[in-house]
Amino acid sequence: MSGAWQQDCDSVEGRCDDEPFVYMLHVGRYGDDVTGLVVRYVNSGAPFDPRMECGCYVMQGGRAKDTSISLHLKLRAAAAAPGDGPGCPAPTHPFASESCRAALADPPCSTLRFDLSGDDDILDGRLSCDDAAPGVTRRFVPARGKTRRTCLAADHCANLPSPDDSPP
Amino acid sequence: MIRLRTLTLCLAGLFFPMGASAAPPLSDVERLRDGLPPGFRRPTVVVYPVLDARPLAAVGPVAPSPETSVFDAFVAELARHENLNVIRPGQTLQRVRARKGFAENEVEAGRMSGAGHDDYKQVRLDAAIDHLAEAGTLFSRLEYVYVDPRAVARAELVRGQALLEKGDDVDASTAFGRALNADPRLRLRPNYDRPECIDAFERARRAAIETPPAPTELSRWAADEPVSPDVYLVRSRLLPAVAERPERLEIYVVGSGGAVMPDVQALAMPDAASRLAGRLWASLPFGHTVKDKKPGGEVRLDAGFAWFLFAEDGLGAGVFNNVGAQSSFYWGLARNIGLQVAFLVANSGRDTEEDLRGDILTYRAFLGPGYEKRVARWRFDAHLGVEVASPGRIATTDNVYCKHAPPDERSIFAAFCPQDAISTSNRTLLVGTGMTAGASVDLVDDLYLALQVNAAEYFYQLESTDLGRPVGASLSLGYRLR
Repeated sequence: MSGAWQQDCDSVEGRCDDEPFVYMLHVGRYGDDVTGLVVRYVNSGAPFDPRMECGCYVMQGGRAKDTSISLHLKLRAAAAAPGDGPGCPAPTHPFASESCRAALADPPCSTLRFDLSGDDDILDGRLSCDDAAPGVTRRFVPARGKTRRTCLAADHCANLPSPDDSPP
Repeated sequence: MIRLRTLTLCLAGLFFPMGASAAPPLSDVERLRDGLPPGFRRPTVVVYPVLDARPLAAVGPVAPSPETSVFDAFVAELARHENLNVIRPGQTLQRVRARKGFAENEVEAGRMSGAGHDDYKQVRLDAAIDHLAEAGTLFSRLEYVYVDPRAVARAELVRGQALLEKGDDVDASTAFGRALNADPRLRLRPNYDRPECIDAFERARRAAIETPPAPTELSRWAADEPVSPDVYLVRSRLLPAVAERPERLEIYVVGSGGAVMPDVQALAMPDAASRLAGRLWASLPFGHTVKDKKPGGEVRLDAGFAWFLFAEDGLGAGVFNNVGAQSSFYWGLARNIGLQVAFLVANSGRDTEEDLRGDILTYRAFLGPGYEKRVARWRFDAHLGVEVASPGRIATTDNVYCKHAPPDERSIFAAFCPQDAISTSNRTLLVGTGMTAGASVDLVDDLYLALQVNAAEYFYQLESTDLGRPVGASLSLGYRLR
């Protein structure tokens, strides 16, 4: 399961026209442990456009068993837990989209959970916000290119919106 | 001035050491004239009796023993060369009969031939053909055409007759040809044998005269003759004059490696025998001096691939392979006693959970005496001695975030991978007892293939490390230098 996976927007089952955001998973599996990055993109009609990247998050609590993996992201930054919240691909990344800035400043939940299973070609599963059942179903397929291994911590991102920037 | 001259002479001696002592190589004739040195190993030339095909062309009664003086003179001329160990035709027959399995195969061939003859008399044609074919195969293996040519000829003749009666003209003709090759005086009787059989036989005889059969049996190594690079088989046949081709003697020199040197000599030429013998002598190896090998003293060098793992692994990284190259040097100290020096360099792979954060480059060296036992082409050895090893820098972690992300304080992973989550140790030196055990097999000449297993236990560590007790194996190609 190690490698890059992107949300499937091309197949009949994986239409994501109505989604504001799409995700790419950069998975590293080490025995039963899983970590890596989840990169969020604004669904702008050109999916996974690097300019539309809207936060990258560390996979936390990742576990793998047979053909399934589970992990979660901390969408909200917390002073007590450095590393929670989003990072950025470059210090001057603009986060230009309004919907992106809103989602970063005021995340819909603090923890986004991924429960996926599949094989080398497809990962199917659910994304649930703060463990709220049942969540939404999503499909991921292998992505081309190298697995991304890191992104900059929030302290090094000049244009990353903070909670103070959220609209009233 | 004297010092300058001395220096000049010394330099001349250094740069031109061969100038005064090197002599032009001696020709083979000069070497023979000077006498062969002690311990000289002569090539063995096994001369078979000549197969005289000239009676093929004879019309009417055939003389029982055609004259073969040219061949006899050829053998005598060849034997005059002292560097060759010429086995004369009479001795060759004894040599053929003395080969392993000859007596048993001869009995079996006779039994098959007898059964074939009985089958033919009882008009069991298929059984006759099968039995006589088996007899023919055994006769060929035994080179029985030199021992009892008439027995071979009878078997092939009857097989040819049976094949003809079955309607197989082509194979019948081949069988008649083989019969005539064994006994060129063989003829069928007009008022006894069937006319169509006589016609087919005569056609085969005329074909054998016009186009001598391919020298397949003459140009192959004898199946039961032990292989040796110092032995050469010389088979020959006398062929009748046809059209513009005169009576001639054909010879085939066969080496154990399959090399065949054909030659042909017209009988009517003056000095035909000495001409042919001279050409053959010039084309054969001269021979060589065998140096007395002292017990022990053998020196071998090999190099190949090596693999090992550390059976004692306190890194918590699980088992990981180390693969690299090994070179070993062996020096025979006495009979069955030798010294081994081995040097190995290997790079580690990763454990399944990738706790190791980088490859470990390890050097190992071994020095130890041991016991060696040689059995035919195989050699078995075991050595016990001192091993010195030096594993390179080791970095391990069980923190999954440290495994995944490169160390960078600006990285989003920095908060998850503290500095103390990765433990490191620098290159160190280990000393202990090593042991090896192996087997090698000679491939060709001085080249051999060796498989060896090795293990070590370390007693001294320059810096503490969690690795120990390497267990591994190597596969090498080697060369015996002395």
